[in-house]
Amino acid sequence: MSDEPDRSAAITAALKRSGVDLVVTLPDSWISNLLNHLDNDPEMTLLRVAREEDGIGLCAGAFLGGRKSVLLAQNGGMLQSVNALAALSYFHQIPVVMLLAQRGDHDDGYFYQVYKDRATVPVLQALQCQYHRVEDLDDLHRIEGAVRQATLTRGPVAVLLSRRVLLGSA
Amino acid sequence: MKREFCARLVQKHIDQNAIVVGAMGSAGRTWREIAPPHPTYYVLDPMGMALPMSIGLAVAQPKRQIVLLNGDGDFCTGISALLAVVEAQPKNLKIAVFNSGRYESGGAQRLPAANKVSIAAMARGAGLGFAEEVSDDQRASEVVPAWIAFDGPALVVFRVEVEASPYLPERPWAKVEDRAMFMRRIHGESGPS
Repeated sequence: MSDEPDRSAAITAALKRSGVDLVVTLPDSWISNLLNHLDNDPEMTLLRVAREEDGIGLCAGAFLGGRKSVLLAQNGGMLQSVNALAALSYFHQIPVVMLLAQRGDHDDGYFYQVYKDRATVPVLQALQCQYHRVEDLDDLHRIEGAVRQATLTRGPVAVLLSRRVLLGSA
Repeated sequence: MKREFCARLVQKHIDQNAIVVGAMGSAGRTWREIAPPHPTYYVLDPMGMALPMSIGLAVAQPKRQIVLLNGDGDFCTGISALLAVVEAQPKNLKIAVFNSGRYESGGAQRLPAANKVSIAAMARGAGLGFAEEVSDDQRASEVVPAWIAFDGPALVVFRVEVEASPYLPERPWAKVEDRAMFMRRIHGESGPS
């Protein structure tokens, strides 16, 4: 038996405590375990999209319909969705929570991911989109905070997930 | 076909309590002009968001019919969302695409591949169970009831004439005010449960 905690279960529990039962996703290798967990949880609905911007729109529509959702993707997906996020922030004023694998950070070993880390926070700041880092399981309360904050501010909020919180020491 | 004929045909056949999404451009504008009683959310801007937002609405409101009136330009901007429709299979989602081959409110410039592409064929290729294209009033009158009655997400393409689509004067309500009024209408004063 591994002493490694069940990270996917802990993140899923944080989503449930936030009232989220709909997760819209475009995969990344760092979130693959979490996606498998969510897919097997009968209390959660997992919807796959082919483009992250579609996921932003889907979450916005779910909000109009009264359902809490999150987009689960990598940070590159947020970069791909900037026009939609700007419209939701400034125009529609619709809360959307993005859980983003923070690819390209100090814990990522690939050149081709680096640009995503460099661009993510400056772009979020340009959008006046609040963001929170979740480095490990002790930080999962920030997911609940982000969902609350998005509702209160009527705008997008990003949660940047480290490699450690998603995959542990693996 | 004229846009207005198609919009009135849609209005005639959808549920009384349907929720409508009007996309940006002339499709949504035509719906606004015929002033139907249904609660309607107009997704303008951004381009390409009307279809994904309609999917989200349909998933969140599975007991109500969600009817999207989209233009071909906006639809093609977000065409990857067709795969999300097929993935989510919201039975209550009915999609109408007004296909003139032009970005009518964008200066009437033509769409890429405007004279060659079949949106209905692309939708069928994406795996949608119902995707029909109609180009005359008689055929449209036959297909629209079947589109609504289909037991699953369904798409109809109206091949419409290019018509003038002038910008209307700015409305008195900001989008966020429109959104709040729309949500109060569908959720009531106490908000979503």
